[in-house]
Amino acid sequence: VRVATRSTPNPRSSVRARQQALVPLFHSLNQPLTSIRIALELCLMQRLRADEYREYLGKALEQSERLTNLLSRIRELLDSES
Amino acid sequence: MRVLLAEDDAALASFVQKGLESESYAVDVSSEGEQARALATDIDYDLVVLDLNLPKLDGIAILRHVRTKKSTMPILVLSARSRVEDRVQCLDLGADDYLIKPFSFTELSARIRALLRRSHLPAASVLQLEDLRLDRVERRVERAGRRIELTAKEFALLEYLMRNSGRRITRTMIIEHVWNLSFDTATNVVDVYINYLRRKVDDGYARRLIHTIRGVGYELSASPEVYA
Repeated sequence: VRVATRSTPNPRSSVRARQQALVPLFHSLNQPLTSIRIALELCLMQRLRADEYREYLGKALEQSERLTNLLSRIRELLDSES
Repeated sequence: MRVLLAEDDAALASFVQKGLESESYAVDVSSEGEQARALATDIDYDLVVLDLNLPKLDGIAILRHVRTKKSTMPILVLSARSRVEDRVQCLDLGADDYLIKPFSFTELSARIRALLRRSHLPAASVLQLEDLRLDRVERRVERAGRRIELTAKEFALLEYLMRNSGRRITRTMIIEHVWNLSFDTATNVVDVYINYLRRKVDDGYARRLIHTIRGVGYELSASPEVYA
């Protein structure tokens, strides 16, 4: 996640810079969230083999860790800006 | 039914692939744009699921290119961009549908079925030939009211034959629509699976539905006298 922290003289360009910084952040959060949702749906649909349930729940857990890491980095960036 | 899934996020791609394979689609995955464009252009897919945010070449450029080569191949775009302008741009460039991330797999699956219904092949949820009935949504096959248990690949093969019932289908056509790129075309796996299907679908019934067309391939048909 890269968030621009450079100060800008113009408030409008500052808003634009912040919006541009949010786009990759939004994409980064979206992918693991979609993955977790689909992994859980696959488990609920009961189309997996017995050994695959563990595998897919494990993968969903990995994706939740990916989300946790992203949120930690956002927290760090917010703290550094305040 | 063979589907190309162009998605650069490995985890998301593997989940969607697994879900679609559990519904008997043969799925090829491409994680970068140039390869996805080449595959979509060169291979006769029944449908393409295209993420817009791909490395090397973005989804918009792929959409633009593929539409000039293949005007009817259904393309479903996946994107995190939810603005009306983005959706309109994609639909105007030739996308047949647009699904915003995060999405539900069941919605993706339903939208794929809807697109296939509108494409050149009949894709009704229930296919029927004589007393043989295949329900795509329930994933159930019956003959003369008796349930037939099929593996995912047997189901996909029977579905392809039923969608093309009355037509002569070559082994190459079967390989291209039922198996994905990782399949070794040198094997006789098509003949093996046809034999599995025959045992389950035809054995014990007076009228055989799966016919071998010598020198061509196979045909699912209710007219055995033609090939006797």
